[in-house]
Amino acid sequence: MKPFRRRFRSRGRFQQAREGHHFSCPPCSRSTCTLADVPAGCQARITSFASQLNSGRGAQLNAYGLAPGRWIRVIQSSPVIVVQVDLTEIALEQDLARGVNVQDIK
Amino acid sequence: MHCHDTASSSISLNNGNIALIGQPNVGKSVIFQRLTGLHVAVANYPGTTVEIARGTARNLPEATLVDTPGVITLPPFTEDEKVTERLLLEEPLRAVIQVGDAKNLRRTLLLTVQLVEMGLPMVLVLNMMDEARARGITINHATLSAHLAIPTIPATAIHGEGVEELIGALKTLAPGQFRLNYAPEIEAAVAEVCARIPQAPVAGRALALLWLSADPVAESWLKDRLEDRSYVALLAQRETLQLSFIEPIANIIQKTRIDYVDQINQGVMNDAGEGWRGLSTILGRLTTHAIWGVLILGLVLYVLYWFVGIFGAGTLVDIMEAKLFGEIINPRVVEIAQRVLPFPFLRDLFVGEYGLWTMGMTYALALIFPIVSTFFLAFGILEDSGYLPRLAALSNRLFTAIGLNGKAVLPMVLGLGCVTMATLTTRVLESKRERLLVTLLLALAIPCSAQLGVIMGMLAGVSLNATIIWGGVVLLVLLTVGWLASRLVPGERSHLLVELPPLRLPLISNVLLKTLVRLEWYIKEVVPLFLFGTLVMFLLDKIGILSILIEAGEPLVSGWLGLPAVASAAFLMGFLRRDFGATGLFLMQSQGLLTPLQVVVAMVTITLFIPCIASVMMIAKERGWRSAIGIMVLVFPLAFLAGGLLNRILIYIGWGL
Repeated sequence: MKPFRRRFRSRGRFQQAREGHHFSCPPCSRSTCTLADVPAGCQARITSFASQLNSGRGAQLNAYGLAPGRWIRVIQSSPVIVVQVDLTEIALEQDLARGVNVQDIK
Repeated sequence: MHCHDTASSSISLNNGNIALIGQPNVGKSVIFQRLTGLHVAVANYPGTTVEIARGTARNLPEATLVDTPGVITLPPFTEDEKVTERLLLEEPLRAVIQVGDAKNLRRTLLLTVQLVEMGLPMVLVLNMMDEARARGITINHATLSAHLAIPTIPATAIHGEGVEELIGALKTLAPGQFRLNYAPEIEAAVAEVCARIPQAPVAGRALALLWLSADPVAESWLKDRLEDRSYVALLAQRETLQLSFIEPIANIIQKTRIDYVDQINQGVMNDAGEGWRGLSTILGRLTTHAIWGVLILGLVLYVLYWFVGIFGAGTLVDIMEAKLFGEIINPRVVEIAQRVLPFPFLRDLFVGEYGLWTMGMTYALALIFPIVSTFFLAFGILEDSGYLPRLAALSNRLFTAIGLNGKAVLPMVLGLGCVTMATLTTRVLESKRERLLVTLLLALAIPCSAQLGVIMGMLAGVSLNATIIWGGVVLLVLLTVGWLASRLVPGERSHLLVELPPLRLPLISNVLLKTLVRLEWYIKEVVPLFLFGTLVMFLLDKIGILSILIEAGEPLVSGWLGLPAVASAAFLMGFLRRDFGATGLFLMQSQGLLTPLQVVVAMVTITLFIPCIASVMMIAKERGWRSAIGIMVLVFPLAFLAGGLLNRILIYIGWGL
């Protein structure tokens, strides 16, 4: 009976996450958090690009609105990360998202 | 010396072209169509336009309008973006029309700042106002115009809104007076560069900023025009400047622009909505979901299979081929030919086994025409819906396995329409390596619309299982070859970064127009090739070479692939166009000459067969002859290898004997 209930509860949480009301976004425990750590349904502020990101990529992210200082909302994190910036939806790969440092996950 | 903020004075306002420039998928081509009345491809995915198109504007006498591939930002990242920047640096322009997405003002303005710095007379069109309004966004156009010193026009170009205003604005344009100040070190460097560079069609200041940002197009432009000594001096100056910053100079320059844009954006845009959640948003999100997305893809493919394979290649072909051509037209034509044409040779030429009418025209009009019509229609709807970029997100994992990223799905899917055009679209990919890999896979495993239609028709005649086996084997070959090739071709994979445009209900008029234009292309390009192919077959048959070739191909075609010897003729036809060969096989099937097993083997082989002459030429043009020949040498044996192995496996498991 127990596993079934657990499964049931986790489904309820999924539902909440989709509605984006009651589900609280866990703060990232690491010292530097990246876009890849932000759960779906949460918002975060971009702080900087990691040094492993080449400058052309940085400029492209900037142009798409993923610029340091901006708030973005993560819509989906698998199979690729989809974020919403202003009214644009941008899909990017996890590896690329790991090069985008964020803070203030909420 | 001549570091003007405006473009060089040699440009007269009455000369030169007008360029449409803007980010990808904002509607440049729609405005081009509206202004010129010419048809250019328009769709809802970034990268529809990869080449420059020109046309005369109807209401602006003596003005040539230039449609360009989208640029996200400068410096450019992909080949198609470079095409646009080269146009700016090399062609004297009378004016620039920047088209931007009204829902994404910040992003639009970031490019506006770069363009307006070039000092050309310019107007900003904020397109897709309907979508912005639906999301509760209002823009203060007067304030925006005042900030940038250019007119801005709200528009919904697809419905014609704002087009008249644009024409009006174009008649009274003046050179831009905008100036953004950068960090003092950068300003000093700009002044120094300006003094050393030759005059360009854009303001010296803008060119200097591009140079300092290490823009590859600006670099090669200067290299071509400066003496080696001066160029080296410029390089040294840039390196010295870089020493005063930790970040690349390009980032510092861009940061100033971003801050400025954020500031104006705050002042002119008002977002009243609390996010927008229409049906299209929800559906859009499901399409990229790990599970729902795959189910939706399956559904899309099934509908495509049903519409093109069952309805187009089954029902419609049956009406056209068996009824219209078989019972009504062809018997008459044969009868007339026998009465009018005196010699048996001539009669055979027109209405014989390899007759220009009975084979060439019948293939082209009765068999393939209904199939490509249904395909183009379905494809047009898919293109305009905005589903394709979402497919890039969904399929990213699969493409990662073959050393690419999801963006490669775009040329691949377009290849299902026409491999030749798709080869051109590989320009949207970021590295040379990716362009080469995708070109190889396109040439090998992607059947074009005409061929796909015939294949679907044949397979639908067998069973859905046959279609799944065919699709599975082709996909397996694609993945295996892609996996191997990505390990052999040096270079790194680049990560996926793609915009997902909103899903839209396609505009019927645009879909129909596109279908008609594509059908016109089909008639003009494919039909003559079919006739030529038929003529070659006829001559080979008459001289007696055909039977020798069929005999020579027997060990391969009968022994290895397990097909009837006459199938050699079809593969011979496949050299001209794969679909021509496939049509030959289609006829064999309808005469009851092929078992289900043979149909599947033949279809796999002809799918993997070398692509048509037009696409070989395109591969050579885009990738060079060495690559083109290399690809052909690889593809040909691979096709037969895969077909033969499949034959043995199917016999072993006893499928479709």
